[in-house]
Amino acid sequence: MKTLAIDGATVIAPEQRQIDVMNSAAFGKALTAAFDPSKDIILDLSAVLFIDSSGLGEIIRLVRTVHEQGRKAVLCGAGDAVSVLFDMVRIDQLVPIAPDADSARQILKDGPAG
Amino acid sequence: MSWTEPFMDLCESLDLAVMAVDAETGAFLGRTGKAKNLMERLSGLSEGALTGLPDLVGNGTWQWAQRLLRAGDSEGVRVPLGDRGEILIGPTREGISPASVTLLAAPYDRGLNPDAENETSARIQRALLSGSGTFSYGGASFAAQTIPSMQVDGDFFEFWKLGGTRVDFVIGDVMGKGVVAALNAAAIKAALNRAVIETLADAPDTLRPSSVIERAQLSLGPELSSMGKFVTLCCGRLEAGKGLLSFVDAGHPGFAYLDSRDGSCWEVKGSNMPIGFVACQTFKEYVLPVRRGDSLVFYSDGITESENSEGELFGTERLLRFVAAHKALPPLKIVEEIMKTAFYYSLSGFRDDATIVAAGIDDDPSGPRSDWREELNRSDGEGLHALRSRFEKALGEALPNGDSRIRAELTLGFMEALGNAIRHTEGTATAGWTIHTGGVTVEIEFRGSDYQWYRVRAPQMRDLPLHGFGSWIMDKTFDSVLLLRGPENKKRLVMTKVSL
Repeated sequence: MKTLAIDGATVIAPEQRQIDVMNSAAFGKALTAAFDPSKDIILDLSAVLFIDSSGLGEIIRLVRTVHEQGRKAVLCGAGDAVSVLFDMVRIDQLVPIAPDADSARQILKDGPAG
Repeated sequence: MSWTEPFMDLCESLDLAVMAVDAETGAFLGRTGKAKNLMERLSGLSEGALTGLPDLVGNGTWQWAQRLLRAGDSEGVRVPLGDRGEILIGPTREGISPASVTLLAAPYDRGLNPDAENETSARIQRALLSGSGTFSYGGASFAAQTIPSMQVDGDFFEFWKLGGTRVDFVIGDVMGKGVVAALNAAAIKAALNRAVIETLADAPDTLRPSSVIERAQLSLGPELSSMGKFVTLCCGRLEAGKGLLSFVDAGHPGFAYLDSRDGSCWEVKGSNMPIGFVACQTFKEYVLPVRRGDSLVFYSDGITESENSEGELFGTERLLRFVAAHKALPPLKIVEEIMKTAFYYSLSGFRDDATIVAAGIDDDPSGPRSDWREELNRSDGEGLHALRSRFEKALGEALPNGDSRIRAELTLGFMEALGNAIRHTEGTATAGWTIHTGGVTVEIEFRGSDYQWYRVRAPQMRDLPLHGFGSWIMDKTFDSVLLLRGPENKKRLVMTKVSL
């Protein structure tokens, strides 16, 4: 899991190509460890080819924690398969989705468009 | 005191129709009062002439039965007596009789009811509601039979042969017994027939098992509900050419599915409630892929709730084992053998109507099909990744011009099913899929405890749910999701997308 601090936000970039029932618990722990409560979060999923519902649950857990700390979160870099999951469950009702990390940074700065 | 007297007293107290004879000589040893009446009705002989089974069934048959039973035949011999019914000669059961009792006879066919009024009612029931029959149509063979209990009850079945390619059918059972149940059953059968005819006239393309049941429910559901009555039924459509069984159950017992690929037998059951439980419900239609050599056995609870002398039910698992052990039999023989075995299991006869509808698939589905099966260890993360890639690739090859988004959705549903199986399995899971003309079926087999697979609710994102997405995604991405139950905690998750 790569992390990078940019403009007061932490960019978390998982390196797993597939997040599923076999590795989602470890993925969740790594997300928790990477979260700095003093900063907003950008979860960059551009390296991830596939996420199942157990991985989704860990992402929602992270977003819940971020919101509880009064911080903001943005998801970005979702490929085709991950977008199918996000669209299906309407995760955009919970957290903004950006095409890439730059757009995500803009959203944190300006707030979601529209 | 010899063993005969207490044994016969026991049989008498259990209201059994039992005649005991000496296996070697055929000499008459004793019979219950019920057996006496029934045997006289069957044979037309006077009591004095009934000195043993050879008189009734003929010496040749008698010797044949003796040979089989001495050789350890566990099911006995069925001897038809023309329109007088038939008689079973079988071994005694362990635990209820001395070892020296070797043969029992118990007539089981209908028409044995000594009460004339009930007999007339039973005839009416057969004419209006069921009876028996066998036929072949649309690449499949069918057989059905109802044996009423001593009372008039509410079992029924019906077939609709449609367009040369498919057979729609229903098997049902109305709550309660007697004339009221039978009249309700007649009304429901009429409503189902009307629903089929009206749909064929109005919008034939919309005729499905679910549409038939929903139409019938509109006319009957509120009335049944207000009377506190309900009906259980299973309405199906068998299309051998497409290799698909579609069905809507409404609280009916599951049915047995014999998979000819490995000889395994499964209980298949949906999740809808009986008609009349609530004034109106939307029925979920399920799909089960079938192929040549497979068998389907639908039944009423009169079969599985047959009870032996120790109060043990015949049960679903025994039925599944029986169907698996008789996989070579055609539908008519399957029906007859199950009826015989369940009746003989109970000895005293059915306490409820017993109905069986059996189907055998005679033809292969048309069009090309590709299959894949692979074992997966519950801790094999790499294996899971590889399976996803293989499934995605197979979909892409089979549907090169297909919608990539649909392929991604199906892959997601497939992976959710694998995750579901991995969470519930006690060891390994076997995953496989069949891509056929126009659709895909995923099958995942594992051994594990039961769970409420059919409880599917759309998660509300505003509640920040961490779980509960998996079953919902499976249900959303495939047209039908079913969990089949086999013996020894075996489960098979079957998901089908009929059209891509």
